[in-house]
Amino acid sequence: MTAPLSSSTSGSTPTGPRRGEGLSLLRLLAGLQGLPDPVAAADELLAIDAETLAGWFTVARRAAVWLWRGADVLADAIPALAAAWSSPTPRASIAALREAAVASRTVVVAQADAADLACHTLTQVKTHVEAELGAAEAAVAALGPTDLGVPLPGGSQPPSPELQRILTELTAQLDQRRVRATETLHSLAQSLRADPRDPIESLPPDDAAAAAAASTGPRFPAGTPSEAPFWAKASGPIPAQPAPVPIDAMNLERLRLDLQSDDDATREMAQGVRASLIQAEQAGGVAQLLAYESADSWSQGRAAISVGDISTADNVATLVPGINSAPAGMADGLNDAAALRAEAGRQSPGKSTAVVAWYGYDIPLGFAAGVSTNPISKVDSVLDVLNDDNATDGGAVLARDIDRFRQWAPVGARFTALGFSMGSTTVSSAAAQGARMDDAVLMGSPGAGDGVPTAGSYPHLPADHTYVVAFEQDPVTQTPTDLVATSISTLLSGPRITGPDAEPFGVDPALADFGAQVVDASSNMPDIRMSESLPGPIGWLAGPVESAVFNQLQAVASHHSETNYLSGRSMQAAAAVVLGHYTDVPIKPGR
Amino acid sequence: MTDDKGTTPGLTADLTVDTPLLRRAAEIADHAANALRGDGTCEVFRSPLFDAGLGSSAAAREVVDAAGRRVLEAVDGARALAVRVAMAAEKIRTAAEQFERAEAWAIRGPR
Repeated sequence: MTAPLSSSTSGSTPTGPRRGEGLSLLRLLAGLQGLPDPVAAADELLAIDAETLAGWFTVARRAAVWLWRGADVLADAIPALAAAWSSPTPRASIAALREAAVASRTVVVAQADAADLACHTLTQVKTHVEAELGAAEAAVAALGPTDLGVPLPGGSQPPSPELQRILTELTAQLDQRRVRATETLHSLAQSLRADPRDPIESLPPDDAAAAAAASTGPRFPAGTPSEAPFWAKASGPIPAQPAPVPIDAMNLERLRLDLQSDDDATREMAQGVRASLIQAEQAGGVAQLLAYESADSWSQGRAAISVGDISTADNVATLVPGINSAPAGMADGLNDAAALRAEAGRQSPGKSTAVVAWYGYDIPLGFAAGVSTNPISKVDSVLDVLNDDNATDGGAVLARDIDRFRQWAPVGARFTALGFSMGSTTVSSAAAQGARMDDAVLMGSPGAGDGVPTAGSYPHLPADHTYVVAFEQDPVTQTPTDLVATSISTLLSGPRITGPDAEPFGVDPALADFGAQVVDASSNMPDIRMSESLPGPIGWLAGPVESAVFNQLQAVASHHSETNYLSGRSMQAAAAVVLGHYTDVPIKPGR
Repeated sequence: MTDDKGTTPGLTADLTVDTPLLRRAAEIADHAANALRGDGTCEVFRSPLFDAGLGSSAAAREVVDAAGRRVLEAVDGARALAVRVAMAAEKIRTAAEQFERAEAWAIRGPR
């Protein structure tokens, strides 16, 4: 009779440290027997994160509920219309919209069901793998030294038929599980080939948008509630061919509806965006509302306005602002966008550039720019200043928006994302999350964001296409910003178990180790400093402190502004990057 | 050939319109638009899936990529449809208004 190899592995389903020891033993024995490592195959299967996939599809189920409810309510509108209007056309239009909702929901539900089924199967596979590993460990533990093939003096390992049988069976079982997992994923991939938007996008083009395009009146909606919709006011001769639908027709329509909203925050934001559109049109000849989502008392909304026509642009620059900004007040950002476009035009008169002022993330302190949010939301917005969470979330949104912008721009157009302050952290996060851009310019950056240790962290952006402009006079780009944010955060939330985050905005991208191209440019503002002198002993102590605080605040006020970064030599460098004129960008060593 | 009212048979039909009911239909369409818009006007979703989260096979990577997009497209689709339904509601309301104006003009006559 042989004694068990180890008493600790005698259980039927070993877990924790016992499992670790058992797996190491299987791996070791397989190696000694010259067999493939069965644990490596098991590890990959056990690492499959089916729960996250299932959780993600709960979002799709929510959309399916919206579509189902919408279709349900639309069904009530059809008989009401039939009774109200003898013409069949209106109810046919509503019926078509309802059918699109039903068809889209069918796709979404089928995909969510397929995902659930796949998750269930993958979870089963993992359970089987666990059980099979456990059984193999138990079988190996029950072998005696003879069956196990204990190494002989001299190091050679005699073949052990019983051990080889156990390991070979395990490998075969794991192979079957892997095939099952792959088939499941393949089947899910097939289900995911249908685009749930197809039924909606295949609806006949809305004549409202065409009317808007053909309208000879102002392109941007007026806000008087009593007025008819802007698309219903087409006047002048009827064109022989319908005009192309503007790329921003849907956003403009949404804006028009918001201008009539009863919600103050929604209406005020819409009014601000309309004013910005007019400003952008005056600056660039063509202004386009490339993104628009309504504000409410909890949210500042989203807006992106292009100065210049993106559909014909050789170069598209997306400019992301820092804190204290909001879509309701985009005037400063649009001025900077227009100035950048003008500089690009000056440097390269033959090329057209569109600059998109992108107010598309949840910008901290947005209420300071005139958004009517509720008090809780304001407190939340203040706390958002203390770390890069909003920039990280915003980075994902920016990456998606840039993908959309690419669809509207000519093939081959160059795309550059420029961010100022927290906006630079957002641009960096977008690049880290796979945003497709040719170049990035990080200006006045407090940090490159969480999980971005170097410029090599961007999947689609080579390190030498990341440019950093950090004025030495700008305290925000220096360590004190991290210290202040960390100190305030610690004061508000108490010290964390893991200790305060020394770099709440990530690594300083101007550091030489970060590996980006650091632009050789200085602040365009004068350096104002003061020296406090108070009488008496208190003054000797307080004076220098007051002076230091004042000078830091003064430096932020003077040097840390988007307009300062988009002026003079740094503006010329930014425009050169937008144009791809890399040799015109002055570079210096990093910090 | 025309009848005694001067209209051509086959080319005209009686148009029956009930404008209060038309406005009611527009309201229902508004409710539908709200339902399609979901519970958050500005909620942004972000895929939590990462490249090798489902394994390293080509099928796993295809699923990660497609799942990331399709879920967002489902949300986008519902919201885009909400906009179209809202536009349709607005058209119905405008039509009701125009019918009322035309009716008032017919009763009062031109000034």
